[in-house]
Amino acid sequence: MKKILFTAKLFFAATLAVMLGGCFKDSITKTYAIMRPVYKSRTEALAEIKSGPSQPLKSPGKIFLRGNYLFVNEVDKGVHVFDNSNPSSLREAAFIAIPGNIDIGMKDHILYADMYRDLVALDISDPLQVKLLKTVRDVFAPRDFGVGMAEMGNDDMIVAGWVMKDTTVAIESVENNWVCPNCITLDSYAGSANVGSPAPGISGSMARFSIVNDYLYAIQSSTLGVYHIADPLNIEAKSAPWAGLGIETIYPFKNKLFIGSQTGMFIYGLNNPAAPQKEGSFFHASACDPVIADDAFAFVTLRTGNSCMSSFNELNVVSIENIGLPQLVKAYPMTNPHGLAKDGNLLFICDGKDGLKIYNASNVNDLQLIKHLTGMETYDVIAWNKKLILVAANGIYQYDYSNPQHIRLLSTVAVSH
Amino acid sequence: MKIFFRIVAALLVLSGTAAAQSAYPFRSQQYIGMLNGEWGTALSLQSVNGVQHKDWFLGAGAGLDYYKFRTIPLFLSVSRFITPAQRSFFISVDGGVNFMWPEIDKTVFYDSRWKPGLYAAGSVGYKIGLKDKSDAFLMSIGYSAKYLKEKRETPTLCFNPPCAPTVETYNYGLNRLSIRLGWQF
Repeated sequence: MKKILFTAKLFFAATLAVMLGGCFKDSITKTYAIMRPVYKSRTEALAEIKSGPSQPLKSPGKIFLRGNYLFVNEVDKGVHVFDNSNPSSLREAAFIAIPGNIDIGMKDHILYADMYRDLVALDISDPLQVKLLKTVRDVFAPRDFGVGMAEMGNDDMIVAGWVMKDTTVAIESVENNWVCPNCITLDSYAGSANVGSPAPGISGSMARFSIVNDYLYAIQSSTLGVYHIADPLNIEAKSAPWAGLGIETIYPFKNKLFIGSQTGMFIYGLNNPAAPQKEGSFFHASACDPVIADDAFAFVTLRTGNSCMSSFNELNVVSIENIGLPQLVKAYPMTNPHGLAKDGNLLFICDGKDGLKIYNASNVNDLQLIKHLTGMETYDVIAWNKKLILVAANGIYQYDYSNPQHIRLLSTVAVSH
Repeated sequence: MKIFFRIVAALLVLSGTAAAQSAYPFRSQQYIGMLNGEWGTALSLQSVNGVQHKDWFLGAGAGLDYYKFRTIPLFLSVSRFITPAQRSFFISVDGGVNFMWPEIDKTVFYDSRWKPGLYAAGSVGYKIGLKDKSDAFLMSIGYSAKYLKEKRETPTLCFNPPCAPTVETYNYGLNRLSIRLGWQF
């Protein structure tokens, strides 16, 4: 009887204890930064687009090389103009303030740049005295600054800066806390420059708009905007064919546009430059993928580590000998590849935190690593005339690769913290 | 941490001399327990080793705590037995640090960095000693808290790298009812 009573008491105590457990409440707080936009009138922002004194390089973005000048985008702020007449001594000549800028391209002496959704055309005959020629509204997709906030639409205010404030809130469950209406993160949702063979300029491979002859092709999230820019004072919208979801980068080669999207690579023909026609597609697993090409092959880098939610870090070599039916030749594992460039048989790959890799690509079935530069987080690259211009997290590097085995550092511009 | 290991070393020295002097006999307590709170119910395993002096027990402990996150508490434990009898109530207080032992979750695409936090517990219990032996059965009920800090970096949609990730800091204060069954020898 005593044993039964003891067991009953024990059971009662255990039940009571479990019930008491519900009285204990967990305390979970989340601290994050709220980014509050600082607005400026569009008229005011346009009036401020001009050459100014050099500015510290803080957040380098897209790069564009033309003649003796190197143009480097300062993300959301404008464009650094570097005098590269002596590659051993890269010197900033001026800074062009363009709020919301992340892409640059050039034709003749006209610099085209995005200003959030708008396209601006600047006369940079004298980079130290740039002149605003034309503004075209709503060329690019609205910027997405994170959950809960997108760029304002067609009113006359633009985001000129951000004020950051840390905020702490109590939350009930982290697992159910994905939606955070006040979390605004300042990300970069567009980007890039271009090169068209007739346009005397070279861009990196992460471009979001491109100029070929008299046409500017701009990625607009799912469409390819086509603009006739023969007369920069009279830029005309021509067409905007559907190009697929999640398109990201655009690379012109000969009479083709190679478009990198999160789901694949699309090839557009420019026989009718005012209305590009899709000629081929190559699909891959969801990933972010800059693409470059030569006569026979396209080189596509797929990377993880962002919202593309890819699980691949690799280089895909795709045969484009049959444009209508691109075929994967070989996939090479990488660390976290971003931009890439090719000069002859040399293939340069920015492999994120794993630095820069230089391959002999004479046999695409067996790429040979020639040189591996480490110690920097690399993003994009231009290879031209045996000079390599490299954008990394900590600055701009310029190398001489006349002898790829012994690539030689010529100059650097460090990021200012 | 240094203090923790110094105290453990001191306890080892004391217990080393215990055999000779028997004023500070070595005691080892092994617990299996249940933690119950707002999040739910979880398993707890603990091993506390130290010395006993009269009605007091001082030990250093380590364990596994599966409440919400898998953590390893390292702590010091002090117990006071109400009477020196074989059967006695006791009170116990633990204090130390929790270390995260992260479980790999491939379904999330953010990076977490964890900082250790406070571990604290207080309980009342009952000891049932075996006749003529130092071995005893222990049971206790009390409160247990563990604190942790997580810095979570989520990559943003980024076409124009470098892009700063979204950084969020989570502070977890987890309060539980703790029920333990143990064996002392």
